[in-house]
Amino acid sequence: MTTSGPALYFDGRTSARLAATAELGAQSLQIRSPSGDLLAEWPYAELGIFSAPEGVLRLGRPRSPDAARLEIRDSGLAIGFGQRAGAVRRVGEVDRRSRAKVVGWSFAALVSAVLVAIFGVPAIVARLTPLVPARLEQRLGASVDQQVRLLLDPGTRPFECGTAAHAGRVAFDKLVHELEAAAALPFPVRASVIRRPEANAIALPGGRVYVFQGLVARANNPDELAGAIAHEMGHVAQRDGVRVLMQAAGLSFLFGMLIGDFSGGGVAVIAMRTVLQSSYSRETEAAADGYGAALLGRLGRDPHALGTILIRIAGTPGPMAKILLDHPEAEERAAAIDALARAAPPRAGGTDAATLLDDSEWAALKRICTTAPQQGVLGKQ
Amino acid sequence: MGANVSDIASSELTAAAAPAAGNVAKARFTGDPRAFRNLMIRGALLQVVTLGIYRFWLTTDARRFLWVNTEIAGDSLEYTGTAIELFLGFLIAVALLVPFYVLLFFGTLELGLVSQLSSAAAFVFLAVFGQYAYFRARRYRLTRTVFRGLRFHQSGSALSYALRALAWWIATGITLGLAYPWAVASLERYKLAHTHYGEWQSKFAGSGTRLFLRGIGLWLIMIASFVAYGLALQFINKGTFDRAAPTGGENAPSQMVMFLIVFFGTGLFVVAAVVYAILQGIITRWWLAGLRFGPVVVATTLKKRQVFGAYLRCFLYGLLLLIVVSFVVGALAALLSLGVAVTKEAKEIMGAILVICLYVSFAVGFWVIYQLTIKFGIWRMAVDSVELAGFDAIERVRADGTRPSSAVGEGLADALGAGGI
Repeated sequence: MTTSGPALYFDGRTSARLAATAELGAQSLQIRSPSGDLLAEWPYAELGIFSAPEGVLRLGRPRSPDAARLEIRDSGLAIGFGQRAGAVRRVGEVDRRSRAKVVGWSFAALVSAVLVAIFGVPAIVARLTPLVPARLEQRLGASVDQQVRLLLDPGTRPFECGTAAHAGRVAFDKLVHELEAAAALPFPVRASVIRRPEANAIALPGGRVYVFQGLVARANNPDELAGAIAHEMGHVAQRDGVRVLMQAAGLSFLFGMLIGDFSGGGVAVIAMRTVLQSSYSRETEAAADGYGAALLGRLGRDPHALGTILIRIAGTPGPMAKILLDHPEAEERAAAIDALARAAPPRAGGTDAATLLDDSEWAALKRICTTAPQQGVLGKQ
Repeated sequence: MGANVSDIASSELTAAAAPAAGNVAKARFTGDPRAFRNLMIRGALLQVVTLGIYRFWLTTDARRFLWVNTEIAGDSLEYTGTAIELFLGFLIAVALLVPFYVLLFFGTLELGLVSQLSSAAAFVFLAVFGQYAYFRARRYRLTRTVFRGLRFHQSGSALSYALRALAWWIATGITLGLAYPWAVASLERYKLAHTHYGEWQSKFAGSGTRLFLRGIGLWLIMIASFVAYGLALQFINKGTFDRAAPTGGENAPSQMVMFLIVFFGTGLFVVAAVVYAILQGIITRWWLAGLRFGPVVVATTLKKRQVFGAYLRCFLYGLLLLIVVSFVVGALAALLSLGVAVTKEAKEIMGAILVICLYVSFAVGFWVIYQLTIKFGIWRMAVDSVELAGFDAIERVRADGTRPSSAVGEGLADALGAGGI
């Protein structure tokens, strides 16, 4: 075994390149000048192998404040060093084992992040949502409203249907007020019908509810429309607008920070968020359905009406409806509503009249988005 | 011992296989491109598997390879950083940035003006903070770079660098890029003046005016192209209105217009890409030739066309990859449409998965191409082009006792670059 041979020594104090002799002792490596003076003695236990070009063994002491190095190019001596010194740490090298470890731990981290996203984020958000002051939610709602209008409003005519004097508007407000009186909401609802052809309705944070014209058109009776509005009131009551925003922010943070700077990473983040958000929204929608059905029941109306209109509008969802509201599996939801209705049948003979709106009111409401003057307003009196 | 040592050094140098060549030292790159290619391909795949967490290990691997194969007068650089340091730095950086993101979240919840102001403020803050992080990250890299037993290191204030960068960006924006050469020169001067090798201080001798003179032609070409594009669009618009009325045909002119718009748009893009690649060549040459380490003066034989060639290769390989991926898309889509038994939903889901897979494979493939042709390619040709005059003085540099710095700066740079929120 080679125990001594030529080497290059950099003493860490100057940048001079010193020709030296390396001697492999029992416990340490001795570095000697050609004249035999001992330049340095490094115990094997303190040594580290540093990155070096092919065919060079570069040794140093990782814990030392300086960067003194010994370079061995003699292959016999390098082999001898390996035998004498035993296992020496390779500083900064990424070997097969550490790579496998990284992959394993990343997978564990990913699983943990997904678990946090599935269980942790909704739980934290559910605890935080009641703490958000109503005033903040209303301010937030106003800012969301601006964006929603930008998205939905073609801007050619009044976005909201029916002026205050419009008979349809009067009927709509009456319907909303009857529902609102039976619901206990954290803040007043401001509902209006907007000129959009899709059969849809949305609730923004802070109590604003937009019923799309297409939904009014496709509702067969006041109960069905009331069911849809009651569903949206469920979102208001549960403060889902704030909840969804906080969930989205939580997910962005969780995955946006962790996953990141690699090609295709953006797609991974988006895919992950889409899947998780749609799983959140499924629960949120189910809860709002339950709330809406219960509200209809409290007014003495048939909760099935909500299920009926859900199934009808699910037949032809416009592209916007798909983007704005994840309302999957209408049949399933209607079945769940029916189950609820069976468990708690509508209160017979409640405080309310036989119908929420009479025929002329319903007819006026159906025409809420036509601007022609309504004869009904005078005729009714 | 000092006298003793230098005697030995001068007498034994040749025996130790050192190419001592007068007063001018050559740098050369000794790495095998295939080894780097394998490193990148494996790294890219592992990044996908670990959703990007592997990047710290890949970065470390790549730097070790590049540093160690960069040889100056027979001695190679050494990278002493570790992936764990980078990873911990990143975690610390994320923790530091949490309050900022929370603030930003509440800022965007506010109404109109406050929301817009807070996003603008966040943009400026992130831009400045990004430069701060960049300077700190540079300190990390320098203190992890060892040459002949001595570390590089960096003094100076990251904040002062970031503010300087901000001021220069504003100036560059206002002057439509005319101030850019002086901006780069000033920032390089700051960086190099605070770069040290042992007790040697570096310096950047490149002149902004010289860079301006070399680049002004490109600037004029770019401006002229934009003007020409604008004029062409106007001309097309006018032409269609004049012609559409008498002929009455609606399809013919609109197709022609689309073609012309795409044609001129492509032309503008090609001009911009060529100008960019040439500019990179000019800047790389100018930067290398401006480097000074103590008494050592760097000169370069790098040609602009070499750098341009690297960009061209990147573009051509990317194009080839795109063609291959498109063929695979077509073939798989055809296969998918053949499957009769599957339901419509199943087909849609499979289609979506297919698109994501192909997108990711193109993104990853192009990333590898970019690393190999541009990052690695330009590093190698730059190293091979370098000559260092006055290199004899290297024998007498003394250490100045600085310690390696923390990796938080690298972490911040990484966390800010990651975006996503």
